[in-house]
Amino acid sequence: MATVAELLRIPRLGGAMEPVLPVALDRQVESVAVLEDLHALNTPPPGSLVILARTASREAVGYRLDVLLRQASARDVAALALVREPLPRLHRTVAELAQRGNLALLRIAPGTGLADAVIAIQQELAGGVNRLLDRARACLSLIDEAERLQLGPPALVERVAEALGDEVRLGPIPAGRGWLSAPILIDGEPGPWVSTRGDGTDADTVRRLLLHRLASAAERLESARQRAADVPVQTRAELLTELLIREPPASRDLVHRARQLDIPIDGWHVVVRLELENLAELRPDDEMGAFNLAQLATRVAMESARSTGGTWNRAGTGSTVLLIRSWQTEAGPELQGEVAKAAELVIGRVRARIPRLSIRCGIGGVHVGSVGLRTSALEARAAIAAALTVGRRNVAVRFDSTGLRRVLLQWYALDDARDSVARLLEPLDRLGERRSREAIRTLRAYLDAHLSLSRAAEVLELHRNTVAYRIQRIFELLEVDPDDPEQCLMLQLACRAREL
Amino acid sequence: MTLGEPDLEALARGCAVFGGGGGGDPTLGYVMAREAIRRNGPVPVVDLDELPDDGLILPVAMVGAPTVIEEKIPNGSEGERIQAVYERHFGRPVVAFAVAELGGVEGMLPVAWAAHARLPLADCDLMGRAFPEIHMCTPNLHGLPIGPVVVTDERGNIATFTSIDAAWAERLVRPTCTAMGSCASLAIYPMTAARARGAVVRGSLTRAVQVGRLLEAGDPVAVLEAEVGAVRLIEGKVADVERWTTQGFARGSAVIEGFGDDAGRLLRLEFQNENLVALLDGEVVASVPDVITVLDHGGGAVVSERLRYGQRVTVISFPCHPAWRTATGLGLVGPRAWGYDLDYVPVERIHAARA
Amino acid sequence: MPRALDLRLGIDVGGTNTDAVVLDRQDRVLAASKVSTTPDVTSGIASAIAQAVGQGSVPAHRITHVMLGTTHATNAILEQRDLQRVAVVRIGGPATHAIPPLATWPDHLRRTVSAGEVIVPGGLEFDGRELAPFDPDELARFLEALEPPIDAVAVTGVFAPVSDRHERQAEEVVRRVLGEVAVSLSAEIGSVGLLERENATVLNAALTRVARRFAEALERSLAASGIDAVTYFTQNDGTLMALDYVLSHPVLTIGSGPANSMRGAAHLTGLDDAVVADIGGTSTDVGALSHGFPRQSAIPVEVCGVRTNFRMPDILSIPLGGGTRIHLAPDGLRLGPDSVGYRLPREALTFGGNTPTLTDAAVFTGRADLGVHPNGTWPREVPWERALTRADEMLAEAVDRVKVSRRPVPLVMVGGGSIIAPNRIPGVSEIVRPPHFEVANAIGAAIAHVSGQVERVYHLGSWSREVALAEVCQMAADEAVRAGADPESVQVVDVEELTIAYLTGPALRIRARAAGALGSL
Repeated sequence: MATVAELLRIPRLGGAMEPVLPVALDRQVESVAVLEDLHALNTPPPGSLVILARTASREAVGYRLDVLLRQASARDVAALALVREPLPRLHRTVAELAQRGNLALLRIAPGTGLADAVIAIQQELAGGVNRLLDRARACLSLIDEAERLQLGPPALVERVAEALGDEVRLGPIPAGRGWLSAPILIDGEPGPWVSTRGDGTDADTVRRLLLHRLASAAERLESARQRAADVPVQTRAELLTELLIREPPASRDLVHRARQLDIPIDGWHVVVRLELENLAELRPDDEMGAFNLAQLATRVAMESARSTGGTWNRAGTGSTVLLIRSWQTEAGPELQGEVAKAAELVIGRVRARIPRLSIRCGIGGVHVGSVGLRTSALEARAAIAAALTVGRRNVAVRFDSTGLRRVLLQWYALDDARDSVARLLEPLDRLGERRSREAIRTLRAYLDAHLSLSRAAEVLELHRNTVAYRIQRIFELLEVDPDDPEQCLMLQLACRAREL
Repeated sequence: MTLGEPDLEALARGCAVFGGGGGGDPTLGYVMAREAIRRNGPVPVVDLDELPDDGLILPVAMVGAPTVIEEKIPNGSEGERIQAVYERHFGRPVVAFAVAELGGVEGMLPVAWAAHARLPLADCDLMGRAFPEIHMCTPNLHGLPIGPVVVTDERGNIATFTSIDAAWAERLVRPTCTAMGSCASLAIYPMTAARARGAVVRGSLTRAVQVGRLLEAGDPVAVLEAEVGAVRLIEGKVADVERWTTQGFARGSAVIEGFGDDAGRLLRLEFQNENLVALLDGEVVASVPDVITVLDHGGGAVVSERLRYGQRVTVISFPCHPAWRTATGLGLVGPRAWGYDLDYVPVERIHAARA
Repeated sequence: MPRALDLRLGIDVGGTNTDAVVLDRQDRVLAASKVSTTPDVTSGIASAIAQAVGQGSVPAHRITHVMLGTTHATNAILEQRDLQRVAVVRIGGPATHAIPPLATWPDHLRRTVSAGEVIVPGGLEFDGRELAPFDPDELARFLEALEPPIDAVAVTGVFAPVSDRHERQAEEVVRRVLGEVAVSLSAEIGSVGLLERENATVLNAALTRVARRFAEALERSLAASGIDAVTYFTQNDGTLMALDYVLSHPVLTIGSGPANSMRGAAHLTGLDDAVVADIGGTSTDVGALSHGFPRQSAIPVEVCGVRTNFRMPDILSIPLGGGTRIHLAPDGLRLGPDSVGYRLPREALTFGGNTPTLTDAAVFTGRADLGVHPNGTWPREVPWERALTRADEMLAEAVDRVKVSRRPVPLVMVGGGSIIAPNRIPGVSEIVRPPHFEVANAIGAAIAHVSGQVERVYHLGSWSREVALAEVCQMAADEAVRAGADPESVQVVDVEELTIAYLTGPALRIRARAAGALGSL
């Protein structure tokens, strides 16, 4: 005796027999019979598994299958197996009749040797050491495959239990009698145990051997897992997200890893920042729903962005999506417009998919390198802030002087902001009015030129070395790290604010 | 009896019930007949005994896909054209048209042709129900020749077939019909009134009108139980309709999910134009040649091509003409003739056993 | 941009009354109003809105969706008012002569609408071959011989659903000969079934002016009421369609009134199986509720005596309403079919007018209590009792024809005209008059679902039927979501398959409609 579910797991069938419906899989099967002729259904005994041979299976379609299921139920057959390709769609009546007759409807893949299958099923039904050996063999090959299948210890134990058709536990030695256990050694110390029930017969020897193999495989897997944890594998998106939110010192390592992941971190970038505003409103009291919606939006956004061509990566968390367009060769500021077009498309597609989603979108300028990437991201955020002040939704707002000016005006109108600008530029102010103005002009040109000395020199009509000297001096006075985009941006804002 | 405009509706209703899902939507035939009667006056329906023994009777019908007929309505002159061909062929006048197939369009169309030709209709038909092929007629069981068969279309093309047997006539007519645009008008089994008397289903028009009239007034299931010995198979909602086309026949399968007293039951209806087999929870409860008819809640019969998801219907079945229950009859139109691996059991017997 | 669903305004414009209700997101009635339909429609809608919005705390700006149901088109046909004269063109000769165009129409309607009918050679076979070559000259001759003015042309070609090329060619001829007239092509209106499609196409052509005026009026009214909302019309299956779609497919609004009132009645009474009679000012619609939805007939439905192949609630419409006029013809008493309609409050005797109506009969006999009671000035010769008895008989017969079985069923009475109805009707177990019954239509409109419809042709060589079906159903569901339905509640409500050809391999035309509740997005 065995349940239908157990028969489906018979190792020698190799998964060739599978359920067509999730019905009656717990039914006990007492015998197995092969039927060549559809009309011979009065022969199999109750509780049997009836396998229809090829011709009969071919005939058992449409109304005939209905009739067959009804007859089988009337004879209390436990399961009916057809040799068939997977069924694309099950007729309504078939499902109903199987359900009503508590009859398991199974499919055997064409090309399966029916004679062998029947023998395997008969052995399974007969039970005994042969059956255990058969199963242990399947367990061993599973254990050997564990690494390739990327199974962790708990998953491996679960799969082995399935293959063995018996309970296998992972954890402390179970209380009660009759348990066989083997320890999993971690760093030489016994960790959890793997255990299964013995029956006091010779078969227990097989079980013990199996448990030891299982334990040592689990040990191998566990230590491999720990090694892997030291170098957490991050997806590009996670890495970029970290890169864009972590402080610069920590990000050096990330930059290195980004290069390893083939992210063109050293190229030129424009960041499109999308803020999904009303997720909570769209899915009130449903965090999971809101999360899924954000995931969907992110996916659609990325697909739409990619459809416009070029290299795109994404980053972001929760309701914020960052799309990063990168170029390997030098990109001019005009490319921001190209990205803006792509962003409009992205917004359109995302909103076509999630009709009432409200999106704020800001686009940063074109900047180079990892610092440039962060700058562009900050600018994108600033652009959103600008958009916010005028209530613009579902359009892409570029970080540009106009928008910036508006934000700056509003920002600079705040006492706090004026104070912090004054504080920041105070060391320069102390140089006296004329020198201070010249310093701020130089600094702004340098910052606007994306930290390019030669371009700043061009703008200022000064020698490059002069600019280099002044800049070095200015940063010293200000005590500002030129590699920190946040501070640079603040400086840039301060310079501009002064000019308002 | 005389068929005037007021009787047509009853005839259409009745024909649809006998059509057993086939024969097309009766409305079209109804309107055609009405237009013809409006133009040419009512059509007398005469019993075969009242016709001269050697008078020529022409059973007429349309062949083709019902959906096509609903779109490509005939010209109107087809019947007269056919009549002229036969009169030339046999050298004597046609005394009456007859209905070849009792169902939807087919039951009504001969009324139109008869009105146009100003001829009476014989009170009979060749099936007592609807079947999709022209050799599935009771005269075939009596060895009467099917031909010559005359086929014509709305353009005026005429084809005449003299075949060695009825099955060959079917085989010849079908491609001609396809060439004509998948619908054509024809006459089959031209015969004298004397030969017709023992070979056809008699009184069918008066019966169809009678049933149609009763259906207008009363509870359809009760009416059909009393009038034709109908058995109620299920009342429910159409839960699935699947269709496919093989060899020019619209085949399909519908599932009706019972409600009310029938809640929890599923009726599977297999059709090939006509409804052929009904299985209730996997058990055959009615099969061809008995008539299986789907009624909507207005009491009208639903032709198989109009079966649609969500419809609320009652399915009934009633005994066919006894000629079909003979060994020859079943050989021609029994379940196996349609590819169903089932033994025919008369519907009333199945019903008695279930009760 | 569609705003988040807040309050819904359901409006029903009938021939006599204009009703409005405001529902909140839980379908609770916050406000309801009923005013007389005005000749310009606009001011009626405006005052219905003003009344509804004026009640309680319903600020106009919180109304995010407006659903409008109207029996306007049906009434226009019933009363033969405002209909355009249509040149009826069928392309199908030498086939189809057995049934000429409009053969199934009531004579009076045919006379009003038809400017002339013709069957010209042409049309297609089911597989797209030509049935006969299209004859543009014959069509041109027919059009030239018509007596002006011709407002609209309806063109119906045999097997136009397979290909509309002959209909398009005919349209060109029409434009050349008649210039700018409204042209309705059958391929855009209905599916296979020549007569029914032709009928619907002719009705559609006749209704284009009615629809345009109506849509304009609605937009004005809403703007004047300070409502900035998404507007939908209800269509014959009880679901919603967008405003611009209505302009080219006005015939689809036919039957929406009954569907709305029946859905409204089910909503208000909680009854799932009943007969519903919606008595308006001009007409009464009787239909059966089965499992909470209007029963739909498998048989093509008649609209004012004209067969169409729309999928519609199985509704029996009779010209009987509160405004139905009582005539004293030389041959005795005659009821209607004309009605004073929206002029009831002016023209009925009980309101000081001088036209005897059924409302007056109800007041005279004491069945209804409103307006001014009869006095000596009411015409003595009108047989009030007999008129009302005749009306009761008409109603009882209609209910009986709609019932499913002999078994008595509850009758839900809705609509403003139901005051003329008796309290007992043979074959009816009880008469239920639910609260808000007088605005059941508007409620039905407000709770209507948004639908999306998609039609595609698949060549089954490369697609399996299941895949094709699943795809079309998915597209229909997406369409419904785009139209504003809540993705969670969208269900496929109708699937129609049509095998259209076997020559170049089987091809399947699949039409699917999905509907769902308005999204709470």
